[in-house]
Amino acid sequence: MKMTWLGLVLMLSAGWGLTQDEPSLAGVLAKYQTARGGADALAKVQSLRMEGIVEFNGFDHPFVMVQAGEGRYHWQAEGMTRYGTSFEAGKSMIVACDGDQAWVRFGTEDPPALVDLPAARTAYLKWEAEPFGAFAGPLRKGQTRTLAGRVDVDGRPAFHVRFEAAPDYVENWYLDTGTLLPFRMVVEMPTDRDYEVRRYWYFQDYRAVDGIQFPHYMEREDNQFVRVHHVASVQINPDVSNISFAKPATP
Amino acid sequence: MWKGKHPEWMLLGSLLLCLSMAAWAADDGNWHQYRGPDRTGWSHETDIATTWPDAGPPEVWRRDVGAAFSGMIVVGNALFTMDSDASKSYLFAVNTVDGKERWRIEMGPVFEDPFGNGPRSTPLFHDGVVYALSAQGIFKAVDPTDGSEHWSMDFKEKFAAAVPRWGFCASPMMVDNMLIVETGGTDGRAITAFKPSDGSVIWSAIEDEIAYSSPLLVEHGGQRQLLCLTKSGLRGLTLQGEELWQTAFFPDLGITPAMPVLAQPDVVFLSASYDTGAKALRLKQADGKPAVEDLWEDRVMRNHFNPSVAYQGHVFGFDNATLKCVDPVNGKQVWAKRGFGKGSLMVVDGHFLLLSERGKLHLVEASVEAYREKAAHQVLSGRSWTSPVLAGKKLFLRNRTQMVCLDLSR
Repeated sequence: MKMTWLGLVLMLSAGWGLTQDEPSLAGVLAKYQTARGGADALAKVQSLRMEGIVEFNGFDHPFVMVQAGEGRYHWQAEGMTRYGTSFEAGKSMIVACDGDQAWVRFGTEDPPALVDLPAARTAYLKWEAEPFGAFAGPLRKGQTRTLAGRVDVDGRPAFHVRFEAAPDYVENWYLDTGTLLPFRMVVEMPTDRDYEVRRYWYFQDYRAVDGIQFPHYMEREDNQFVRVHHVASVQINPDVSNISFAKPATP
Repeated sequence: MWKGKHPEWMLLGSLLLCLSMAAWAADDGNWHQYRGPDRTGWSHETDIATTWPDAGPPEVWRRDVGAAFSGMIVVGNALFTMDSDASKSYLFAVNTVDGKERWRIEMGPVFEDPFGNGPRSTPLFHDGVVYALSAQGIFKAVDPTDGSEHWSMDFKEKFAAAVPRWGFCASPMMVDNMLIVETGGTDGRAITAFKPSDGSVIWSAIEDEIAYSSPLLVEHGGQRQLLCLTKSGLRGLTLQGEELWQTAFFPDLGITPAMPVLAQPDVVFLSASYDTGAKALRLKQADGKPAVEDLWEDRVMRNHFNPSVAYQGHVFGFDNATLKCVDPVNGKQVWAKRGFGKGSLMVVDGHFLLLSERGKLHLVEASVEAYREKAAHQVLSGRSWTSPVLAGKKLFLRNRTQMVCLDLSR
């Protein structure tokens, strides 16, 4: 898949070269691939299924997240209402995208509310659907991927990779200069608020699954909401035929 | 009856009454208001246990409580806080020795909110009276012995105040025998000073919407000022309610429940969530009058509801769910530690007592250099947004369903 293409380009353009003084984007991406498990292993990943506990507003909700590529994404948390205001057994919240339209199902009513998400969040979820997001695949028309340089992030040296994925949608990835594994990602995207809002991801506790490194602690901060995913299991290339990416018909 | 036959009981009864009254009169060593003796999140106690058994600090008692985010105050052997049931809000007193309830009074209808029902404000004890404000704006002065009412008012009626979206949250304070509280009234009555004896109004001030923040008293240049954070920003007021200065603080937000923090003798620190950030001000004199100078504004610290604490010239608090140490003079982050959710913390004897959002208690060396944890123990479960309280080496924790007393004596 796309990782093969990217790996080939990186090998040809940069080899494994990455000098301390003049890091290149190709060099950083190549080192990233090696750190995650190698280009060949990554290229075989078509989809991912993660399960565990998502901690939200003080409550623990079992979650399932499926990243199936081509914009197909499904995230479901048991016992969660829209804003995680309480744990309500038997209820669940779903955020999903079928590659075209993103939607959310939430609420305590029967049936639960079913809402289309706006364009900006649809763009976001399309990239959430990619197992390796900004680091995979050829760039599409209008997209750019640049190495913004070495930066200090809370005292941690990092390579800053800036990925302009869509109009008004930018991902800023921060890779540890030692391990080349991402530990933070900041999304810039439009908001309906009177002030700028960013979305932050924090990654840590990398562990190997079938030879590929996956973060098992993923914290998402969005406005005032913080969701901490404690990943218990990662399944590579799971059967996704029974996963609902498309919005169900309204009853 | 027994009086005539058993004079020794009369003597004992009189003695107990005297001891009880003495306890009500003594403020030292108690936690009598929001954020403790100085309203700073600091305890003056020393020699607490800094090594804990594997099972955690000894649990003295544990009891059920109703829904609320209201903080606790402790005076003598009595703890006062608020909660709610399906229909009513309550102020109640608990014996700190055994956790048994002493009395309970109604504080009006329950305030309902998807994130958690019930009162938000923390009661205040002063000079033998407990003052409490419900989320619906019912404000009462009661006797700490039995909860009998001295006076009561409803901010909606008295000040034409609308109940804010998240309820009345600010906690009252006492300054020079004036009871200062956010009243949310119209016509320049956002903040009001009351006469504590009868609840009569001494003055009201500020034409603005309230923003859920508790007032703070500071002194600079030999003059005391009240710092009041309302929707448009922070104002300095004289103790007569006259405005000295004001500065904007995310005026479009309108939700700034983390009260101002005096980070250094002349540096005030403000912080809010919703991806806004923090701001620091320097208190100064301009043309012989109190004024402020903006130092910086940055996303570095976004306190959602629990304010930061100041320690060794720095501020420590939760940037949403990340515990951070920040230099208040330049806004630079010194260190950060994740993994607590939206927690709360207090300072005692060179340590932080930190309660995570999921109810885990952490004992942390208070240090500007780094996060250094000494012990941790899971005490509560579920959403735990109310700050820890320490009085008489007993630590009191609560959330929306339970209240716990731990023994932190060595």
